[in-house]
Amino acid sequence: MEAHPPGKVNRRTFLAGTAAAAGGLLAAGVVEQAEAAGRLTSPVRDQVELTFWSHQFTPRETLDKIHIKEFERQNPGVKVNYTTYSEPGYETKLQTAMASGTGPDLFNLYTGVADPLVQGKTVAPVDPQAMGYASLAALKKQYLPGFLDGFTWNNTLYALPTEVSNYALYINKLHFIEAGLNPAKDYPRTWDDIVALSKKLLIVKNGKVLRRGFEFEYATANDWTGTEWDLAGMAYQLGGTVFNHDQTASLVNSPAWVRSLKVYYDFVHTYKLGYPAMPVCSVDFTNGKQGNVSMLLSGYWYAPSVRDTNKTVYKNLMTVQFPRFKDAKHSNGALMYAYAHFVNASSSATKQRLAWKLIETLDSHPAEYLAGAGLLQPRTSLLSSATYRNDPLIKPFLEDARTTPYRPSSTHLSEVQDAIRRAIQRSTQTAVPPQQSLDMAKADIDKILKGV
Amino acid sequence: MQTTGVIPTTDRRPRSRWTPNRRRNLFGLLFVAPAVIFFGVFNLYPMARAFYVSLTSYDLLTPPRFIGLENYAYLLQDDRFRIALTNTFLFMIGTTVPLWVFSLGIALVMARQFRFKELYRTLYFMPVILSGVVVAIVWSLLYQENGLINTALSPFVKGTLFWLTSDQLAPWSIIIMAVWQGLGFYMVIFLAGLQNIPADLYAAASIDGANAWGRFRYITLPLIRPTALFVTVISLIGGFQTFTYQYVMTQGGPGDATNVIALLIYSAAFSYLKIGLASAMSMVMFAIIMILTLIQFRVLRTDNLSYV
Repeated sequence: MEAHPPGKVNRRTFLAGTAAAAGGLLAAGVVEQAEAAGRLTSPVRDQVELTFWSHQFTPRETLDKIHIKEFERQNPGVKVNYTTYSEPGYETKLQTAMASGTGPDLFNLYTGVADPLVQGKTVAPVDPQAMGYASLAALKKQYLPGFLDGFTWNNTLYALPTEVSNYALYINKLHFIEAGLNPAKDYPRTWDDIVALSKKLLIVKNGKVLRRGFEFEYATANDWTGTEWDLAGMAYQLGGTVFNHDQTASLVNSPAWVRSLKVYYDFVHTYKLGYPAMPVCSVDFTNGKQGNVSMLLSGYWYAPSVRDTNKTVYKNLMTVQFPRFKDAKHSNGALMYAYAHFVNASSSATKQRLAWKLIETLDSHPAEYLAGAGLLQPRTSLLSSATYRNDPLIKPFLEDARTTPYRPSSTHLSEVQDAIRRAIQRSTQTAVPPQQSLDMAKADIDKILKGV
Repeated sequence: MQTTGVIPTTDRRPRSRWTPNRRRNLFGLLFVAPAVIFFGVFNLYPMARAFYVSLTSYDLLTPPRFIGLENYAYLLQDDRFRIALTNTFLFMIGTTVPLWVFSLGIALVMARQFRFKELYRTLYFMPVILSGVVVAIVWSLLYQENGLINTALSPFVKGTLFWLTSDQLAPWSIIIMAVWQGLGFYMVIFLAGLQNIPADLYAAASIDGANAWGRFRYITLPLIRPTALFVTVISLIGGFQTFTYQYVMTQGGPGDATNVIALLIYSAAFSYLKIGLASAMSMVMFAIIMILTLIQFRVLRTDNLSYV
């Protein structure tokens, strides 16, 4: 064998060294993974860690954290890892985590996007015994009649509401008084009233809009309320629905829908009272001393935001029921939606039981969540609370909620919602006639329902 | 018989398989192996996997179901996909042509010597370092009905311009903003290319009687071709992949007026959980970008470029 010059590495030595280095790196990675897995499952011997995800909403998070601490005190050995994420990315993050098996043990989620999770059997049915109830019937008695329908799939209850929401009409009383109106008597009951009052409340100076009487949301990128479901609520008042009875076709171009979208269309293009290019809702209602929209549709959760940012407006707020058509067949508001607590079906049996126990702790304080976060948890105990009885703004929401259905349940609800959004955009922003716009929406939705 | 020290013609030692050439090749392979493995794992494998997923119906929550070319057949007759493709091409061409022209023009000015040149260069480059999201949010405010742009234009324009809520204007509003942000980046690249052109070529041309246009046409343009190729490829690929501006400013609206392929893919994958369909769209997008790039390389090839 040849002698190698000193200082030079021969082939065998080089290959051996490379293999040893690679093996060492691999071993270090395996050890690190094992240690990390150990840390996740049992950071302290016999301690159980629950991961709990929710979307960001500061008033609710504050209360959640208080009750989580209460739960941990009552259950020594249980640690709750509570994380919140900003929307809209939260729903995407949660869905992909659940799909990849890395989802949290329990989470708070808008029920409109929960259908795929339920159909994919990734969430567990409600466990009333873990929550301390003798039976499902005993649990259901804690809730207002009919309100748990929105959390039931295939006759099985899969979630419990953290908030149910609909939209009522917020009114700035100061603007009414300034315009010579009496807010207690002259508030709008119908869509025609909305138009008439908007004309009186609108202020335009030197071609610049200083105040709008009422404003819809026009489904622009900055909109933060579900205007599609305001429109759907209007159509439902006139006897319309989103789908046919077996969800094989859409009915969004029916006369009820066309007449409803025409209200939007006329508001912008015929009466020139609506301004899709101007931002709505939170900024303008609390803009300056008195806000520059006199009336708008929003959820009850909006009230704490106004309270915290513009005390003058908050003191002069009133709420009334969602406007109706004069000849409405049904007396309903904007279609209801909800956020709910779900439990991950892949979590261990122990973690699932503890998760339902935590949910009972969180959901047992409806008066606190109403007062602190503006969230309506439909528990029967809420109605007898002083918070509810003394709240001047909540009653129209609850009155409407008793007669308003939830948004329809569908695996394709996000796509359907977007198709309705585009119809509103076409008619309000680019003046496409409502019938034409809704015909296009129906074609889109029928294709969605047919699937690929 | 005397021996003369001649080595026997038959060498009975076994011949090693590891010739110096083979050893060199082996060491070369070992050195590039980490990069090749990395490329294979993080580029080739995901592409192959995405192609497979594009042949399935997959919602992440249940196992993929093989459906062959159904996703592609759907795309062929889907109006929204066709509109998004058209909008994407419009954005691509609407941004790249002004970017080439204006950034080269500004680079030609910056190549000269004048006072405060560095300050102007910095100002032109500053928008490039801003995040696309920040730029989109700021321009959304500028584009509002009562925003700064309408206020500034009001003495000259009758009525109100609906920059982001008009299906005619919204695409161009985004294009204007994109050109504003990208200008500085391509200016710097062209500037580097211009500074590589030997000054004596210009001197010689001047002596021979060439005017400014002649020098630009017969010296600058040909010698800046490698830079132009790079700018063309990068700007077209970037334009085709546009997403942030549309996502932040319009969400593809009004209607589908500003909907682009990347946004449609995002919606299909993460809002609607149609991973198979989203993968099929990604494959189509990849094929289009590949074809465009090959065309550019063919048209702008620089193999016969020389300074002599």
